Amino acid sequence: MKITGSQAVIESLLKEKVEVIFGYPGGANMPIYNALYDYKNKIRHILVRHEQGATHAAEGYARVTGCAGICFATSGPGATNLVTGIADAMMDSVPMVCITGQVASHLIGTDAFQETDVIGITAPITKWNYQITKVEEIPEVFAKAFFIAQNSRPGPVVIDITKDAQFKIFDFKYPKNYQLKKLLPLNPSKKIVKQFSEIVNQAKKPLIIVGHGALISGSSKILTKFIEKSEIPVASTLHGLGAIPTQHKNYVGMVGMHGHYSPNVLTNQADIIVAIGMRFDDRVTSTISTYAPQAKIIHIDIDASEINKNIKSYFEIVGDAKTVLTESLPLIKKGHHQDWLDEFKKLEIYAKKIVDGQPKKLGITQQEVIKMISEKTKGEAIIVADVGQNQMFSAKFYQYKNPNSYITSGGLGTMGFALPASMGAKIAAPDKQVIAVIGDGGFQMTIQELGTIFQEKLDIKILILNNEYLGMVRQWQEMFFEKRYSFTHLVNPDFIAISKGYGINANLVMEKNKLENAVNNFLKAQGPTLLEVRVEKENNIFPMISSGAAVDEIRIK
Amino acid sequence: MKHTFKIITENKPGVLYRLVNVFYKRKVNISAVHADETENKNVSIVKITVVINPDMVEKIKKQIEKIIEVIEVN
Repeated sequence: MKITGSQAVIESLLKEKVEVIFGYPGGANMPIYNALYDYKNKIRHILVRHEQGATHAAEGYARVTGCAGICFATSGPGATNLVTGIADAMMDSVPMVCITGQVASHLIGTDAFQETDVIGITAPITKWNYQITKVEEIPEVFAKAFFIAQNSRPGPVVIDITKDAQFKIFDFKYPKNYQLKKLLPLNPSKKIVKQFSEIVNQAKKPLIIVGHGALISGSSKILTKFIEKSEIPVASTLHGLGAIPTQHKNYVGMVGMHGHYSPNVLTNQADIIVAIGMRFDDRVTSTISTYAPQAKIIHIDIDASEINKNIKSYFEIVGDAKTVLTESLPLIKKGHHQDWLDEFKKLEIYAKKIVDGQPKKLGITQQEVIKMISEKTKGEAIIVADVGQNQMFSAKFYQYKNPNSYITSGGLGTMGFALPASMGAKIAAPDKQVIAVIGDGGFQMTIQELGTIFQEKLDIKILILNNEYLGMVRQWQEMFFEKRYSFTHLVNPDFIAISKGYGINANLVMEKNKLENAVNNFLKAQGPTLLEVRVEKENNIFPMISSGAAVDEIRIK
Repeated sequence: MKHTFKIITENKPGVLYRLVNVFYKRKVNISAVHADETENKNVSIVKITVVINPDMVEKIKKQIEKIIEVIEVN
């Protein structure tokens, strides 16, 4: 069929079964928006208030559905505003396709109005990117972009399209079943699976650590079977939360800097660590030379470059976590690791006693708010956490029952992530309760997306944990910089008035005895609602592994 | 140690940029680089020589292999 390049862009998205676009129009993508006008009934477009919001919303959508999130932006500042979100998606393996307008091809390289080298800027933070200057390239480039974004280890892709290519007419034909051999899954051989199973069967003190890859591969069910049969304790990274329900008897908590006490301490006593879809990030390992000295590391990852990148493995499997677990399950013997599991439980009770023994705070603490929300939503909500203390409290005190129900910016640690990401999550899962948990600092980084939430009537619950500080930085200043609170105190505006100004219902709670009522009303409310909780100003998140310490030197207080 | 990566890649704009980024990101200085089209105009060979720790060779090779246009690295 003869159509314009702009129509071809939208037709390509429809071929890829795209339901929603997060975007912002401008000079260089106006032809695409002009085409989109005729597709309003076939594809939803969410007009964000800043292009960064589009990227995080796309990430939120992708993290819930597993399908690529789509962003539209114009050239120049539109495209550069995408950069933070693209980098975020790259670090956290989130499938995303960003489509940026570009000045006309004859103007490229002339420093034309709103011209930027988008391909150059985004090359280090994309899995792939490409500039389309000829209309005929559109179908194949789109098919390739979607395949790359969504296959093997997912990631962001940028397609930059010059304005002249958007206008031209051509004969549109979309490739069928486009594949790149390079990204097709490698299935481990029978021999590898057998060897893996033997190592697991012989372990005395095995520990499984699941990461984001376990969720991306959709291996939660098979993982549960695997740990129940092998009786191996399982810990999670920040991004692996929800791969195993946190109440499961084999689940021992989160590893890493602000993780739980026992999995960090016992990492250094394990004889086998099976790492599934995780990348031994420095926040997980702390000092590498003191990490898991007793353990043989079995590393399962779909990305070969992650193997031996940070931690030398004893045995490696490059492949999809679900496939590896499924094929090895029949070879796994019924394990007997109850005594070893009990060691985790005992240590956790010990740590909890010390934490509970600390002087009680008079004000509301972040953990009690999260605990209360966890109980009242029965662990069934999708929590979209921002970055900082609020992120760690939500990771630790919400009891996640389902996969992909804790969404946060882990690798890049992007403040301002949660509000826009919660929009994408809600659109992806309209029947789920979606709660954005945000500090007063991060909220003000993308606060303008309240406008998007209002316009689109997105039923998101926005929880602001306000301690009038950049809480995590303040905690570090307290612990490691002699309480020199250098520029971490915030004099905040009236968040309630701002929220109401955006047409979003809002309430403030300051007293402990009013918290429960406020939370009840917050969760019951119809439509977008904001609850600001004034929390203890100088509350710290513990346990914590200090920089330079070993994982088993984790501090409880 | 001195090491030369021999990279067979699709002959497309921007590939050399991505290749160089792998080294630049790790602050590895490139002592020599040579790129040529092959008889097949769609394929080129890039040779990049660097001085690096031996344990970095394999890590960098795997990073180069991830570039979509790269066909083979030796």
